[in-house]
Amino acid sequence: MQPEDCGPSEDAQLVALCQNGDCAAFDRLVTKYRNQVYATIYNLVRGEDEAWDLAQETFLKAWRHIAHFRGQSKFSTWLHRIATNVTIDWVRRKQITAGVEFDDTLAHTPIAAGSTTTPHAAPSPEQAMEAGEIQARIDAAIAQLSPEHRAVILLREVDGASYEEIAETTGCTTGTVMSRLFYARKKLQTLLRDVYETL
Amino acid sequence: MKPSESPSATPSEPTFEARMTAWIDGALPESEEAALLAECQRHGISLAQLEADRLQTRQLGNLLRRHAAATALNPLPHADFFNAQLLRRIEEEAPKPEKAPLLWPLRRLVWGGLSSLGLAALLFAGLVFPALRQQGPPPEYYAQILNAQTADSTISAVAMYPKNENVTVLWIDGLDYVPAEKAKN
Repeated sequence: MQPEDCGPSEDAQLVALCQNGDCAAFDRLVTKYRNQVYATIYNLVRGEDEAWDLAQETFLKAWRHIAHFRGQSKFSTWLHRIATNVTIDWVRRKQITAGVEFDDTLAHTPIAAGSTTTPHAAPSPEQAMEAGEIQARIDAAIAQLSPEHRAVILLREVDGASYEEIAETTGCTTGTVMSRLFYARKKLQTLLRDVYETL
Repeated sequence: MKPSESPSATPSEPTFEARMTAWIDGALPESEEAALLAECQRHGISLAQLEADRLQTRQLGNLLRRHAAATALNPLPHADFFNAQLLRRIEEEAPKPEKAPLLWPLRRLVWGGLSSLGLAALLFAGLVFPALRQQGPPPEYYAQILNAQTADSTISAVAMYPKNENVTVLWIDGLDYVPAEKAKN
């Protein structure tokens, strides 16, 4: 997620200026990372307005806490962690308000850990060939994951983050990350198998 | 039962799910691979099934990446407004310099009142009170009227001592004259 035009050393300089209250330096960091933060959040919430607002909250939270940033990780990683946590909290609050609970279990049919015979989801492959419907199917499938599972699989599969980076971002162990990844993949395989097998 | 639920597993060991994830991603060390495959075979999971699972995971990853790439083509909308809005919110949170109020707040009024009272007390103690003290104690009368009797209620008697004159004055008001024998005393 590191933009090419400038590296971590420039980030460190800008962060140091921000820690002295330099808003212009923070504005440069925002300009540098706003698209990445927005894309990350959008992948998690699947809504432009929500992603825009949550990106605002992410940068605002980063500004509030930038005095405590000690540079032990890259600024981009730290920012990514804030974005992920802000979004996970938002998704959780939204689900609580809506009275919906995530079901990360593979409830319909017990599936062995190494099983390849995951059940097909309801719509037929022919119907799923429509691009718009495929997008909707993917969105709906991702929406069925808990915020934690959603974050882990998207950080891994879309952002290409390592287990350690995901652990740092989500604040859990690499073992937990790998376990969550296992179940998130199984769940999405169950829901999207007919889609990716016919493409 | 899943292999990870084996009673022989200890909390410090990676779970079956974690090792399967590592194997699917090609991140499992070779030294652990044989043990994992043997564990899967003990639970009826063939190598062919595992390979198919790995393939499915890759297909799923490709699908998610393609989906996300379509999303990523759209950058943050209203980017300039995004920065401006953010900076405005930051400025709103920052401590603002103190402005001179149009009306003094209540606390200042209280302190102003107390200060005025204190100043007045100081002025009284420094200027007015000494002036009062300079007037001296009330006059000491060397003559005091203990009893006065008269049939005429219009006659009154007052004794006084003007300090500067150092003389006692007996003032009798209402008499037409003072008898000679009384005046001598």
